[in-house]
Amino acid sequence: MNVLIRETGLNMTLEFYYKFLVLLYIEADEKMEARKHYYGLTYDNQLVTRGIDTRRHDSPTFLKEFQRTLLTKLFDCNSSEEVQQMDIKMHSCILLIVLIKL
Amino acid sequence: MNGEIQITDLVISKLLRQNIENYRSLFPHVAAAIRLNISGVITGRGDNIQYVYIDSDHADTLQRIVPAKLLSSEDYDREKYLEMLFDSAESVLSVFGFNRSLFGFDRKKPHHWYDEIYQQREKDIESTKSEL
Repeated sequence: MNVLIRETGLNMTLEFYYKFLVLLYIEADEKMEARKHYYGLTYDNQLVTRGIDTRRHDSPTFLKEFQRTLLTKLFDCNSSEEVQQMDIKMHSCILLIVLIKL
Repeated sequence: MNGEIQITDLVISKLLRQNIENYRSLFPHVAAAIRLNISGVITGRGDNIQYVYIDSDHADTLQRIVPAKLLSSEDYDREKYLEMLFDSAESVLSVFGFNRSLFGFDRKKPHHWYDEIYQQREKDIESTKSEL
């Protein structure tokens, strides 16, 4: 951190220390990462989300709860390799549960 | 409702950023504000408008939604909420290869003209590859 501050001349503080962090792309360009759209899990197991339904004030409650459940399930994994290898059908199960409820 | 989700959980909230007469487009929350005004509940700039989709394809924009304050039945537009559900899942999981076609649903319709061109271009590339 001190190196970064020295090299850039910008004041910085460490807000979270992530175990997993997923940077999302902007809607208009699937190759460009959005500045304030991401989610992650910190080393003290705190789910941090920005710019997605869990944080949006206009999203309905059911959508917020659904997305939070989805991310919690995703971060059951212990390593990024596990996340990459996770069977997509696991997400499907959660989605189907919600579809039945709706 | 058939499922376990309560209709109150489907309520969408949007801020009215200007008085309704200044809007050029009839956004859902503006339509909800108009319906509230018609029913005698006066709304204006700065109000938080809450509504539920009841028929998002209705020809009359005012009939597509119902303001939360005027909800009188448990009816809602299930297809619209399913679409929102898939949008939400895709927004966080598409980086892992998830999309709604895994469930047999059509992929999201393009929102912008450039999405349409982009999708057409992908199809062209695929068909050229298969011809070679």
